[in-house]
Amino acid sequence: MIIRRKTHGFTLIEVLIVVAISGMLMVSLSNVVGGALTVSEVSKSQNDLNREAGYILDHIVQIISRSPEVNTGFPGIVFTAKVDPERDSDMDNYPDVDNDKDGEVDEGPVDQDWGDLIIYRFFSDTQRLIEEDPFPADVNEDGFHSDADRRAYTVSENVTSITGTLLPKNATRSFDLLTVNLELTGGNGDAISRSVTIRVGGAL
Amino acid sequence: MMGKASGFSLVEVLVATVILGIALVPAMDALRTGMKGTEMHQGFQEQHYHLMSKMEEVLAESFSLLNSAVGINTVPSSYSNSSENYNVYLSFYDADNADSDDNVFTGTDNVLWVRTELIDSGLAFETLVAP
Repeated sequence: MIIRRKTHGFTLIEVLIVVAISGMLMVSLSNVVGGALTVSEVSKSQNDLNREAGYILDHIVQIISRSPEVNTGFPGIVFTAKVDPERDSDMDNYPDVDNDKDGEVDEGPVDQDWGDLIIYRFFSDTQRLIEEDPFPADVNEDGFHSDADRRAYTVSENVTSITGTLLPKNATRSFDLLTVNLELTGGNGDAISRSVTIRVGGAL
Repeated sequence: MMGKASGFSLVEVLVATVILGIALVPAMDALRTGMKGTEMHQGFQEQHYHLMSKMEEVLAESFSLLNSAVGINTVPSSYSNSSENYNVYLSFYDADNADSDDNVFTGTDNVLWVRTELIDSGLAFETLVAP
């Protein structure tokens, strides 16, 4: 007599049911996961842009609020700002603007002090915002320290637009006001814009 | 004789699916919270710079003009602008408490107290202005 034992495993119906359920789940899950990934990417991109915009504007606010004079209207330049008269980046006890280190700044006809401008340049083709800063030493190694000794820093590579609008002081306004409008665009096309108005020399 | 066939049973697969589904709920919730946080951060940053700009505009005014616009510290001054969603409060500031009433908003010390605040928001900046 042949005894048939019940074999364990899936029946065809069970397999078909599992395949059908799995298929349905895969479709809905792929939508959910795809959506979640998109949301996560957008969120990360927006966060990065926010952080970058915050950094750029905070940095500009620092420069402008400690600058005695700001100018706009030069081609390719967002603004120029005179260096903080108290800044002493090489810590030699002479402010950076006292280039000849004689204890006086812009002292007259024999003045050996040059402009000491911080220049913000914007290159729309590469979306780069550059800060050009006077350097208190012979950084270009031409044998002497001059206005040509400057260093350029890339502040951001995601800027699609930046403008600086100057409102000069008048009878009722004691300070010049600079309004900076900034627009950043991330790699996936997300864009944010921020605007801030700063008192020129307000922190001096 | 055939051995026990290995593999998941239908019930096991269904249980796993249910567990996966349950686990996805908090995961999606966390994602939604993250998104909300990003939006809040963005809005907060916009408000911050907006309010900062307004404060800078007020502080750029001459002291005599601000002085002439001084009122009660709880009433918005003429520098307020509801269409731009901010209020400016101006008051004299009694820094040395010369009148001994322990209220800095009464008496004068040739110092002005300035507060800018966004309407319907907790965000506000305060500072003192001297001539």
